[in-house]
Amino acid sequence: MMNLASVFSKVWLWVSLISGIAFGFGNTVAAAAADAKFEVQLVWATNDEKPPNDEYHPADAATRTRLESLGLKWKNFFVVKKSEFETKGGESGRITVSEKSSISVKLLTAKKAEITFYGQQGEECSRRVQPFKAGEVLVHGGNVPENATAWLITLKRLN
Amino acid sequence: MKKELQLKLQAYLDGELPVGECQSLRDLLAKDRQARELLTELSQTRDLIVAHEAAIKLPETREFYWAKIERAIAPEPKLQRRRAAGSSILAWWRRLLVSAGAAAVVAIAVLLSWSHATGDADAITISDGSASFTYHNYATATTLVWFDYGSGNDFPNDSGNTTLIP
Repeated sequence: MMNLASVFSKVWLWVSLISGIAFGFGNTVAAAAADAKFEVQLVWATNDEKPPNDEYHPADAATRTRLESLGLKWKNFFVVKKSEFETKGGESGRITVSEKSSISVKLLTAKKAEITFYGQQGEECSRRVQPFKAGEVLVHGGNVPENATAWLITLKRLN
Repeated sequence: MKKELQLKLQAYLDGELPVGECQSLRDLLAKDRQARELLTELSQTRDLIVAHEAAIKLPETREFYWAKIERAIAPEPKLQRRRAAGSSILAWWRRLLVSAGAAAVVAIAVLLSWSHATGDADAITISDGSASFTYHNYATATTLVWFDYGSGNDFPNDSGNTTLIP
């Protein structure tokens, strides 16, 4: 029986050791995900050739390509506002994008994040958990029926 | 003297020589002095051994003596069988546990790699109840969460046309 107990001990020792290494690796990855940098843009989508004022700038080629890849048929995309922010301790806190919207990012692992989108009253409109690696972009958008345009908020992970 | 003759003399002395050969051997002994001397010597040696062999007396009866030996021998195979059975069970458990351990390690590794590899599977959007949908373009690694406020938006249809018309 001592031999049996010894075999039990050895097997579970190995299982525990390997599990510990595996989960330790996962936690290390999660810990490494503590901070990341993001770029957020408020974009106006329209078929008009010119923006309503000079503060609007045409979206850069990369952004335009990404937006067009989503099947959006507006001809022009103008950047209203652009800023960068960084998470601290894996969380960004609420980032104001416009008077009507804000966004927050919480890093769950090195490659996965929870992104929450808030409306004008600060209410939670959308909460999404998804893989979010460097270079990937998440776009929140909606149409404006009154003038047949749309607003878009692009969130790009920079690192 | 030939060895064969020596063996015949020994057999004759022990009474083991075939009857048919005894007469011819006696004839030979009558003529061969060397053979007679050897037979005499063998006979004297036998008598000497028989006369002076140490008598060994058992401390208990013969039946009891052998029964004791039998009892001492008899449990041995049973014990061996029990030990063999024990080692067989242990070996079976060892194989089982090693296999279970290996399976557990593989399962953990597969689960970990699966959770990392299939990260897309847990992309979840919870909206506030307004009409919304999500679209992901793998080529540009871009995800769209679209909120519909009505008035003429065409959403992606089954024909693969993912156009949104303002």
